[in-house]
Amino acid sequence: MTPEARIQMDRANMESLFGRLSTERVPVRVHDIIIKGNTKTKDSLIESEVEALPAAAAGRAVAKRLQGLDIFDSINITLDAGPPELPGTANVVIQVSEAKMLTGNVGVYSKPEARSWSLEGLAQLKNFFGYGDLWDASVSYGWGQTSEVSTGVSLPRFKSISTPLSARISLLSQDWLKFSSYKEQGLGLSLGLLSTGNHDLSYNLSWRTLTDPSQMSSHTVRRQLGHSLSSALKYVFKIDRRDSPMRPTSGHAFVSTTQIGGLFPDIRSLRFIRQVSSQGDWVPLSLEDLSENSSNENSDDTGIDHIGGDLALTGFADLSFDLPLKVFRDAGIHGHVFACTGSLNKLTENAYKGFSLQKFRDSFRSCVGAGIIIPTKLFRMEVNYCYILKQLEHDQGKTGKKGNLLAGMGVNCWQEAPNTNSESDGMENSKTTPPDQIEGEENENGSSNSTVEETSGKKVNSGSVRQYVRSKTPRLRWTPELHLCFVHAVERLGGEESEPS
Amino acid sequence: MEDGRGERERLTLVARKPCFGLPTSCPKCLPVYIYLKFSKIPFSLEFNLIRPDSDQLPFVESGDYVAYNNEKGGTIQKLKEDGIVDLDSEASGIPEWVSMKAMVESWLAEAVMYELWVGSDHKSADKIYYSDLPWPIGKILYFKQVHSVKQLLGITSDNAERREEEIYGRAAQAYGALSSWLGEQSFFFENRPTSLDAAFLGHVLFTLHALPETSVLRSKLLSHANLVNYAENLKMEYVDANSSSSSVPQTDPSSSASRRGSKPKSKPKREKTEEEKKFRRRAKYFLATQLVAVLVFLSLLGGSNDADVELGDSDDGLDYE
Repeated sequence: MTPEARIQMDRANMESLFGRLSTERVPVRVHDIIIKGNTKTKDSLIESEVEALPAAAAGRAVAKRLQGLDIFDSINITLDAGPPELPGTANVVIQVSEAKMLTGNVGVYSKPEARSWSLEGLAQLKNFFGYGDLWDASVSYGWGQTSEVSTGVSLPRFKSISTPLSARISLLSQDWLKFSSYKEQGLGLSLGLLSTGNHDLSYNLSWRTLTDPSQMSSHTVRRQLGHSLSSALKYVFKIDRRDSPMRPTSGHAFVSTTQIGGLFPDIRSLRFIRQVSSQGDWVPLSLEDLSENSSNENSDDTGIDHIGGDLALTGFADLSFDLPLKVFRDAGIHGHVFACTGSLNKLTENAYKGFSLQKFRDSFRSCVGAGIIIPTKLFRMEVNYCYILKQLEHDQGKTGKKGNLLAGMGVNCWQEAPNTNSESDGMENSKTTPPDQIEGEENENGSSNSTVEETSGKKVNSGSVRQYVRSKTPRLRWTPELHLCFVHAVERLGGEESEPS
Repeated sequence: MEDGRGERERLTLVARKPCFGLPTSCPKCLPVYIYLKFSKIPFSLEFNLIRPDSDQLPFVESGDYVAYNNEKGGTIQKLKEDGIVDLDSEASGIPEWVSMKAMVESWLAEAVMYELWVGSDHKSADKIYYSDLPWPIGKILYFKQVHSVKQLLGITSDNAERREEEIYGRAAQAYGALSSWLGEQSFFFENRPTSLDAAFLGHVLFTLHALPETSVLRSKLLSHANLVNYAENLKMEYVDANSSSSSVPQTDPSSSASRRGSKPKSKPKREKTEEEKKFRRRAKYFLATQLVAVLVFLSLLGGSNDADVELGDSDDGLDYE
């Protein structure tokens, strides 16, 4: 066979093997897991994350799980041949590059539901003790409404508990003087006990103080003012099968939140049970949808304080359609018409005795509207016109135009990590391995090339506001050394016998 | 609902909880209760157990009218000025009466504050203020209150003893003066109850019943027999006799939108003329339109730049070097 033909055959074999390794599952008997590149992170953390996966996991699943820890910039999973006395086994080499430890973020965000803006700052410390711990501190200042200072820590695993644990302390101050003549201050401690894909269990202990410095509150509000301790367990169950969170066209979602208060430590803490369920269905070209508009405006003159109720039921229907002109369709600008209704009823204090179906039907308020949604790179803008069909006495709803900006603009800053591997591009990792090491290894047991590279993290251009997210398709830059290694590996793994599919 | 509204039209006193055999055991709430009892106006008594540190308590409400304790010199003063109940119309012109009242409201009030928070142990204060709050909150609020009382009375670690002597000395002086002025009468002014009687009776009842037996202030008071008799007699006649309309402690956790009639006062609002309103609305629309146009322009322009970057970057596959 001529050298050219041989090279051609080698190349064809290598390409086919590469194709198979990256798309199919090639079963490999793993002898050992070798972890490289972790200066701070404890080996035990990475090993336990890998071992938590089922034995038949693919390299991609392992990388995804480690990426989920949010402490690595890039993760390489490499297959190395096992010890020569055990043929047919392989060593899995996990090469990680740790992320920058301290990052910060400042931004101005809008909250259309509350018709307010807030300035938020967040500082995050990653992996301080090497156990994948994430520490963060955040400050949020909302003009005239809510301000919050909080700090928290989250651990991916703690000793034998394999689900993430988190703890958070927060100081909150809310100003409802304009609507209900009271101010609320709270000091809270929240512990996340259990958090898997669909389930979330947490415990909240908080000291709430309601005061009325304006001294204009109503009878009912006056009776509620004071100090209270709320000690509650909260369980959230959610299913999200929408095809896109921003503009879903099919699927369904269900969220159920249950809170039980007053268990411990002190029986004088607030006793309550609260259940919130919401269900949404999306059907393409149909009338059922969940949209996040609120269509009641509160005007400035308040004569009545509004506090709440025991049974709340709301329904939304939204039909969204593309606009006829092509230029709008390309930009993603679409229109929608919506209708919504809701009711709030008091059931406690014997009010349920006077509760009838007729009264329930009468308590529903409703409105309809139409609008245009303009999603842009920076923000998502909606302009809606709402018309109130029915409102009850003392509601303060206003018919009219309303604009929403769902925006987030922020500035990121970060601290350079101590290890100088500042390139977050997995592609270059193959270059950083010194060539003589490869040759040395090749002599002993040969090494195959990276087959799956997952790049995690974001590459931020420090001059622009936008974040550039690198796509996660596997890439490869071929060098002659790698070619030789690959050919060797192919021979060891029996690639010569395989045919390109 | 109608019954609820009817009840709310009635005069209601919201005070701190009853204890030690007293209808309300807080030294600030007791004088208001006694004043209303003296006036023989029917009123209902409600308790608030979760606001130990608020200076708005005690307050008197009737319909939409509320007289808080931190307005206009106290609840009693506000009730007098608003014409709801005034027992002092004649007495307030007499200089001795005024100075006696000032003495009770400054020296004796300070003495009680000192004795309750600094002089004695925490048991009385806990029972009156914090027994219905969860333990961690109660403890923290207690320490906060002790600290603020010390600040108010000007007590530091250096002058603690000196201040204590001063406070007790003044209280003893006040007792002596009041005792000699009262003599064997049943009231301080012309055999008719006034707010001075309400304030002093409240003080004496609290000192005798709520403070512990070891209290220095209590022993100083007990040395004036006529004051003790005065208090016991009035207690029997006004406080114990018709221990009537005190309702069960209302601590309803639920709430509802409350209905309210016309308010006697409205929030201070700037007077806006029609033209100003129109002008502001137009200015808002103009600014909003400008902002939106700029943002849309930026984002669409940013969009076209982005397209170039995307094209140049997607070289997948193998580059054989």
